Amino acid sequence: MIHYPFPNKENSMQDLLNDYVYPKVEPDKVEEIFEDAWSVGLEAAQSFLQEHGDAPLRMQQFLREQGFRIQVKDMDYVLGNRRYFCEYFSRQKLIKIYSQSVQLWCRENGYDYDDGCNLILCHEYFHHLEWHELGMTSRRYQVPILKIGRIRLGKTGVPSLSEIAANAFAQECFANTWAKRNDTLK
Amino acid sequence: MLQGILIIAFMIAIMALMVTRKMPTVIALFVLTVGICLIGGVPMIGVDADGKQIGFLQTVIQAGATKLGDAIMVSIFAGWLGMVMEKTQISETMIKKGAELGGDKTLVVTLILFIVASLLFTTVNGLGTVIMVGTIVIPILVSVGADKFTASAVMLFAYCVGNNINMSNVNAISAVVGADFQDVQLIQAIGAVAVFIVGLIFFVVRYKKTGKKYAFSAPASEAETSVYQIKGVTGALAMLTPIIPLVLVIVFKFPLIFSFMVALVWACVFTSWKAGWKRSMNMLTKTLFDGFSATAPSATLMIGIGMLLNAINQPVVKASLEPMMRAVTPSGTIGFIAFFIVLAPLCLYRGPLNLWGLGAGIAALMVGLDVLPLNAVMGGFCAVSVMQLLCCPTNTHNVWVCSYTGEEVTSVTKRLILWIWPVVAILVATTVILWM
Repeated sequence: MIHYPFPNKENSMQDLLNDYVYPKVEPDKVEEIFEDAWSVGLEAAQSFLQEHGDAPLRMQQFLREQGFRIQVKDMDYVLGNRRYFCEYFSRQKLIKIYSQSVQLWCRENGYDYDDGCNLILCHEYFHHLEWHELGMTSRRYQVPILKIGRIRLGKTGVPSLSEIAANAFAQECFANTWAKRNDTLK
Repeated sequence: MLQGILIIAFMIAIMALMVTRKMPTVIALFVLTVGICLIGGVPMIGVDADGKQIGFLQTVIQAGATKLGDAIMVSIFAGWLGMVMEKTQISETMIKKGAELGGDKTLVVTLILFIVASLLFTTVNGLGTVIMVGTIVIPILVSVGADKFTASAVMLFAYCVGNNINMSNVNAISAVVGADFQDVQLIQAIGAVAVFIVGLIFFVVRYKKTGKKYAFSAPASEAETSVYQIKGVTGALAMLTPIIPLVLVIVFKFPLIFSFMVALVWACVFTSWKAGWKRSMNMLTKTLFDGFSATAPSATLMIGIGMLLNAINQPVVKASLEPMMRAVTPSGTIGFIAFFIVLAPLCLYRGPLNLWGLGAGIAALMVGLDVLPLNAVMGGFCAVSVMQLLCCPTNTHNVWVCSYTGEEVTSVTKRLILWIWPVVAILVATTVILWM
């Protein structure tokens, strides 16, 4: 089965369960760290939307104004067993959109291309925020690098927590945009 | 003299066909062999006064095909082990465990996977295993935040490090040049360490430049399940498989093929008990055939190189090429250093310094001249081979890695060549210190 995930809570939990470091997460902490990451994204979105005001969210335009370089690649980018829709390079303020992949995503989820792009760019913008302003969500819960029996060496973060927060951010921004649009239509 | 000029012209013409990809190297070597013999005036069939065969059908084609038979056999057993490691999930588990250790630290994951892949390539060899390792390592790297170029570079640097230590490769170089196995192993090990250090620096610099990459992505298909589970103590022991042959050969001085067989048994014992006897026997048989198939490109290359070596070493051919080779072969230390460092890029595109093409013949001629010590020639060619292993756009592993990640193969060459050139210089200098 091919997945074109909508960044909701259910799919975000799958991100955590499929994380390479998931086996090292204490079972009784799973729900807690998931909710924590989700709330980080949610709060960031609320604060962002407040700053942004009532104007409709046009992420491409917004990001360009913020000095991002956005490259649109006309391809369906599948590498190994993963399909990539969009990539953000933290030190270069660069975003690559894989338009054919995004089109597939939009078709599957029933949105037009611009709406789909908007949502995906919101997701990537959260990564920019966490890298440059908020701090890494993935580090909010740390697991030992090496665990042999009772011996634990070093600490590292859980990468999927960043994705969960970014999904929460994107979903909140998206829901807000749709609510505003529906208000306008009324 | 005229014959010598014609042979060189013919070599250049064949090289041009290889560079322009009009003729694959394996075929080019056969054509080169026959052409050299014909131009050099070696009779097709004949015997000398003592009744010894002197015709090139016997002495070059027949004897050349089996000249590197030992190296070919070693590579087949290495290929078999590579396939067993793939089928039993040893390689995959090692790579995933590596990613697990790094967590959300992209640079740490990159460095760990670089180390794991290098370790795997010390034992496994050939395009099939590059694909096997690459299809696991590259997606993990890209998914944890490395960009495509960095992921490609991890594979290429790892292959370069591993191949320098890979005993099947060391054995083949030793057979081609005629140098002692231990001497080849020494310079190759120094090369591996130097490439490894340069690789580490490269990844740190690269990460500083690009930072972490995030992606909105999703699985493209369902993951397959396997009957082979690498877990617990047996799993940990199974993951020692790639270093078993290294330890047996280096520490206990066991022969290569036997060492690979011990590693095969080791891998099976610690992975296949759950799969059962019948399934394990089927797996062993299938991986043996797959191992043959995976090593076919390098084995055929070695058949061609064996013929080329015998063609170059025919007395009439040697005599006609000697004046020209004497003119270009450096005799002093400075000349040697300048020759191999400045002309190092001639190992690219199957050029005259590529030991797995025309270079085999050139090396044989240089050795035959007796101007340089045998080990100096070997060291010079081993030095430039690190550049060829990492950068040559005609390497099948470079072509596959770049097409898999979507990078342009010659662009990768241009971006990596300046990183590897200092390693060539270090190895040339080491050769001078050790053997000149």
